[in-house]
Amino acid sequence: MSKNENDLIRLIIETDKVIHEPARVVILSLLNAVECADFVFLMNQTGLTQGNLSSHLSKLETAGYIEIEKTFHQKRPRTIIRISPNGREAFKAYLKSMKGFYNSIG
Amino acid sequence: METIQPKKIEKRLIYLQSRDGILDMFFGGMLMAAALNDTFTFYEWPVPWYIRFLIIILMIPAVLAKIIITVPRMGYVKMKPVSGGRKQTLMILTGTAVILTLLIILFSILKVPWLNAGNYAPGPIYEMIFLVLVFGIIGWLMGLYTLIAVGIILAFAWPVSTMIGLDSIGNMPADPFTLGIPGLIITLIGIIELIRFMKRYPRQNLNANYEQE
Repeated sequence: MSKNENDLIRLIIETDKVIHEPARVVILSLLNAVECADFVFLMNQTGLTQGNLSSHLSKLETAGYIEIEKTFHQKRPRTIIRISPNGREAFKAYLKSMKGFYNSIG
Repeated sequence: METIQPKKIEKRLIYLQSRDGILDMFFGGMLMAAALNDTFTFYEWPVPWYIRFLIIILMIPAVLAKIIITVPRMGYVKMKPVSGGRKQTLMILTGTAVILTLLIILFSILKVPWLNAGNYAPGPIYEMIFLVLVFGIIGWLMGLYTLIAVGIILAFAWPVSTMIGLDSIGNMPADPFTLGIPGLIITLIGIIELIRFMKRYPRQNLNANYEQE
């Protein structure tokens, strides 16, 4: 096996599994582009259902990639979500490794 | 391979937020107000006080509509503060515009023969370039494409009215045609956009919230 092939396999194996899921990539892409957003905004932009989005957010929060803050706005509960500094770094690293992967396979 | 570019996503999100038609209605209203103001001035009618404050009067329902209609339906999002590069471009643009305006005023006062604008007001060509540049660049940077259209309409209002002979007839003001009609069209587009926005983001999402697992 050549060195390049080894690098490629290592790149795939080392990919962050928490981020490497289409819905979570979309969520982090959105959160990475803004300062913060609420649950309804993410639901509208991702097209995910309430339960599905909640589940993905929980996984990202457990990994320490996002911060979830529950507040009230006009007597309605509002959940504010923002990407954490760790999450930003992990997402950057993920994008870099994906770019490297796609570049190496041409 | 199409890569994920945060800047592009940011621009798209700003664009999506502006697709509620409210800004279009605001800009359209401003153009119509400018047309109305010039019509009153042209016929030497007393200009009602509220026309001069129309920008503030129009801003109130626009802000309220954003709070009452857009945010609850689309969801709340806080964009990142203007980045260093973009802030620098806006500062350079504003600075250049200020320096150019001051220079033209200075040349007018000093009566520099080859640069004299004739009076203290900047000349029409300068005004055209200035409007297209300022509105165009701000619109492009912020992803507010209606603003680019507004800049072009404002810039070409005078030359178009002269070209089609409205300005030279002298018995009617040109602005109801060159500012008022585009303003009305932009407002109508805004109303259609608002209806589409309300269909795209129904009220059923209002109570959606995060359920911790």
